[in-house]
Amino acid sequence: MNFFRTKIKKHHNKKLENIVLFFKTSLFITFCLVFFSFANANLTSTNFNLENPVNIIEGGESSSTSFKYFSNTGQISGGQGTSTSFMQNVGFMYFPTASSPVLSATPGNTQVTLSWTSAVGILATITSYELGISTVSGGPYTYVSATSPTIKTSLTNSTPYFFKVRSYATGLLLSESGETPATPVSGGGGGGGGGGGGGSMPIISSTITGVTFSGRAYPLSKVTILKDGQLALSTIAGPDSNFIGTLSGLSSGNYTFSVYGTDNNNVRSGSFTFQVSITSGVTTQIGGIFIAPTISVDKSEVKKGDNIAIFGQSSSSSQIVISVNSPQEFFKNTNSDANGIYLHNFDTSVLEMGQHSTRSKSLKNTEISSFGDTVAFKVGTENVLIDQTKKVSKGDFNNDGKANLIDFSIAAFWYKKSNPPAKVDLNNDGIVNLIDFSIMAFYWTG
Amino acid sequence: MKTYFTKSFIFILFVLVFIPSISLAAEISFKTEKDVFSLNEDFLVEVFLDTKNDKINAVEGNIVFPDSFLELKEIRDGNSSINFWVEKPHITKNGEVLFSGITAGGFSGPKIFLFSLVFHASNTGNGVINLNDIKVLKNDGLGTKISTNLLKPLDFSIVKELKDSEPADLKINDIIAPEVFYPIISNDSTIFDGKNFVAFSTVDKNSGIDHYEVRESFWGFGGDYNTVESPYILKDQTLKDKVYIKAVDKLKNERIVKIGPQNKIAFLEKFLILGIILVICIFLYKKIGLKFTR
Repeated sequence: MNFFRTKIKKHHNKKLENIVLFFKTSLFITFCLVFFSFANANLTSTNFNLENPVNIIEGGESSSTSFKYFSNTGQISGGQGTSTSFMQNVGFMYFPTASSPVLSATPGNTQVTLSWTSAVGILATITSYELGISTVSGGPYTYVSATSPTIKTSLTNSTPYFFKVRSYATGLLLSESGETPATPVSGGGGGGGGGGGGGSMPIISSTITGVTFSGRAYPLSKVTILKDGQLALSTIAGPDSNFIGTLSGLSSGNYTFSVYGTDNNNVRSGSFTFQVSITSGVTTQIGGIFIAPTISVDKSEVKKGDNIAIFGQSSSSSQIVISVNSPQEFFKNTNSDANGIYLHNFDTSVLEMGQHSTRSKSLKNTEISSFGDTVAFKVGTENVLIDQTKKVSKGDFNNDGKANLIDFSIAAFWYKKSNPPAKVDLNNDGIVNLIDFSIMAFYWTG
Repeated sequence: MKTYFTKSFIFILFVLVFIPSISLAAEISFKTEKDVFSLNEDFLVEVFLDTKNDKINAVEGNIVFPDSFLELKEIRDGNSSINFWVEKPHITKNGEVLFSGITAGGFSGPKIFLFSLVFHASNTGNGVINLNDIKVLKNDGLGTKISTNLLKPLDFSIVKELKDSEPADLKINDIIAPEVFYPIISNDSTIFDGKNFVAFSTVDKNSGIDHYEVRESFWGFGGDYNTVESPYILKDQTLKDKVYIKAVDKLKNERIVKIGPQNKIAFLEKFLILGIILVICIFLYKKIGLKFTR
């Protein structure tokens, strides 16, 4: 700094002094902004809202309907504490979760190529993955740090291997995938495939170019698989909710697959979509697909203080986490029965008047589904029941219960034309453009 | 002092507000093997999207290239991650390629392939390939636009002769027909005056789909294939005809799918016509046959 001052005096450079002053002021404002953003702020998470947090020096506890906060936690230095069951950020505990990755395995000659979808962290950023390998279905697995895609080499041909992936947030295990089998096979780069669905299926060698999907849906429900947006395969899940299906006759290349379930009330789940690179002459295994629960509510408007029924279907005997979103997000836990049915009567007295939404996810053993579709409802002055038989999904312009190529054709007809029908103009901006197609693509059923 | 305070505040706000959004923006990039080409050389430019962890389901843009140096020979969309083109990549005017498409359910990843362009270096000089009017929309049911940058425009040079450089082999070996597809016949009061139309779409993972042809025939034989686009208004609005749809890829491999008559009366009509023909034949046989026996 003295050097600058000497220079300034020496050259009478007013401009340089101004620059120094500018940076000093900038530094001061940055400090103020950072300081005030952390002090006495309302901390918000998707699980809870802790208003104006202060250290409780004298002892005692703060309480809410979902947690208790005692004064005996603390952390002297900044940063993130570690524990095997929770994370701690400078004095506040939180419980992050993540959806299970979906693992695909493509066998080759003494090797298996593995890739997986990203786990979606809630209150956490996924920082690393571990890949587990075993020669026995169900493990034990040997885990090593890995990134997607990865190739496991030096494997024995004709020996079935079983793989799993775990997701971590700074060292804390958050989720793991279902098991995916693959059997390396020698000869001409061709590969073999294996069964799936709980690891009880026989391992079958194959030279067809295709994909085998396996995972959890709902007991005896219809599972639909779309290939590049078009219906390719339908199968029925077993009473244990597990499903398996094989799609053959594919070419070598990139494919987009979407998987969704349809529950006993004909309500569709949200689509689980992922891209897979298919290799010629090999059956790729995609395991651990966990279809998110379906969700419905019994009222489009509920009188404040009355209950709204939130229900749907999921994997049998699984834990269901229901999120009710408002300025404050509420989480409720319930369980699905042996048929996968769940129901929770949510007391709306805690909600403010106005629009709200709800969604749910499912936990079974060590696997966690992503959150499913979101359903909106209003808290108002009266109860308005929904006719469950007359649900219209967005993007279904011809009311055939599907958003597919026909609806795309109808939208394409009105693309950039004036005065489109209201049903086609999904965002009501007076024109059919890419936004309307994007909305349709989200609700696509094939 | 007040001025400096105000300036500093604006500067800090700019840094805090804009820098994070820029760093999180999706990116479109061009990929080539090299950036200096010989005159009359053909080269490939691939277009990729990095979604930066966002799930995307719609992409649109306008690629601008100097047509004084480059001649666009071909657009390849085989193996594209786009499922349905709203506007298949095509030249709109000299030196501009417009594209717009969606993928049902969305995608995310650092290197999503959109399509590629085959250029012919027609003149020496320096030029740049750029991208305008980019729209990348989130798969959130609302069509939320996310900020997107072109990673960097593609600067290239065309010289008279490039020494020690082999021209790239841009040939595609494709002997596989387009994939099986399932056309749908439907109608809607808001389009084509409520007339019946057929909608179809398939993919070819190698050379890409070149065009579609349709043939309508009551008996299954006869009738010519006509090059059409989806959706196609059916000539036979009674839906008694069989409809054949042929998907042809860029190397002329074909896949033909058939839709049977949607109008079930067609079956009865066919039996009736065959029955009448049979009766006439029997009648003629008896008449002519009897003549011969006499």
